[in-house]
Amino acid sequence: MKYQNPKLQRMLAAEYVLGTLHSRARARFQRLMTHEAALRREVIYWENRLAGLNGRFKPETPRGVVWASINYQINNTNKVVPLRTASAPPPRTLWRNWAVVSTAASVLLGFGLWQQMNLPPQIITKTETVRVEVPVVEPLPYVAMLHPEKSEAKWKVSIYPEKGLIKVSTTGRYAIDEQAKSLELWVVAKDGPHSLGLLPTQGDGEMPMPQGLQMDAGDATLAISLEPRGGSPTGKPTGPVLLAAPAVRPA
Amino acid sequence: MVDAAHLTQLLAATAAGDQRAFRELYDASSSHLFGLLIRMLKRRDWAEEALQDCFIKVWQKAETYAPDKGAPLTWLMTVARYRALDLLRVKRPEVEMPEEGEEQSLAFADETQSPEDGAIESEGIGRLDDCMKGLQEEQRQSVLLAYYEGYTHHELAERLNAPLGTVKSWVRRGLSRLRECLES
Repeated sequence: MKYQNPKLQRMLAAEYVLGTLHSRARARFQRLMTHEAALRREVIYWENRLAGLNGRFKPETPRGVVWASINYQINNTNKVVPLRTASAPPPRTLWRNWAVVSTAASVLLGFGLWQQMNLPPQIITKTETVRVEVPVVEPLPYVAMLHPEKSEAKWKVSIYPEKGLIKVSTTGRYAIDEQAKSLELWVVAKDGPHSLGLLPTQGDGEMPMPQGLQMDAGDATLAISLEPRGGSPTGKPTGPVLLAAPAVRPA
Repeated sequence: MVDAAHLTQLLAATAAGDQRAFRELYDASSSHLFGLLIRMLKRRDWAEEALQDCFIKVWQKAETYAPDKGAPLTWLMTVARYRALDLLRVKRPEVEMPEEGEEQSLAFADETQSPEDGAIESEGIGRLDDCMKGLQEEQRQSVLLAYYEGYTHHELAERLNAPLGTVKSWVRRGLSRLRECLES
């Protein structure tokens, strides 16, 4: 295309602002514009003239969660936390049904057996048995009892950092509108709160610890916050904190 | 009512890294940007995602705003509109094109427009209005559909059930006539 043609340039600038260019043409024009002051002037001309049409857009107030997400991002410039939309992965939930877990386990087991059966027979040439006594000491978990004021519900949370596992058992039931809200469990570390996952409002459950999460040495502090359904959209607590309590690890 | 001088100050303070000014800027302008994004993208979740992108960009690039680029709200709306156009180019195949008669009316003279809406517009709205009325029906419709729906030439051709070349010339003649009228 003869981009030097001023008439054509003017037209491209107008169409760029109007929005009729397809994506490659748009990108091409943007590159061109960075080198050509005259084109930038044309673009600004049309941006301001066509802005007269903006009055037809009716203002609408966005949800508070959008600001929370922006605010989080500008304070954590290296991390990009997109708003949780339908395409985002669902947050971890403590509420894993044992039946599902055991089904998955038996499927895996079955697959393992099937693989074994398809392997060629192994020829054992030499066997050697060495008996070594290894004392197995299970490290004790961090344990926290979480009991919100004015509620019958209590949670016992056990964190096994070595196993990368969190177990929760709930006494009673904590009433929230589960269509709209979720309870989120946090560990409050020196560098701020880190999500451990969603807390069940009743019953027991367990889930893996988030990848890469290190517990600070010594005792830890856990907290529960009330979040939009599915958990905080920002990765940090956005709702009221129900309680914070120590998680103690017996020496 | 959005005060242009105040928004300009807020943008300057935002460029200097003042988070409180940025928050105030968001409070004063986000509903306008969000209204535009909902109208163009048709989906709230996309509009929220886009609004977030826009303000991150504003936080990072506030220093590129200069009053000679236009009114501050116009500049912010332009950031939002370009973001919407980029998203539509990626996501449009998922959006169903409205059937004939289903889309919102594009009649330009809009009596329902409130004085408050008028307050956010750039100078020369009356002039643009007059000049739009001077376009031929197809030219006017093409320009408005492109502006409000973010349609490409191809999408316009499909929507208006006309050959691509014809639609391109409606858009171009429409824009040329607009310019002649605006500068006369």
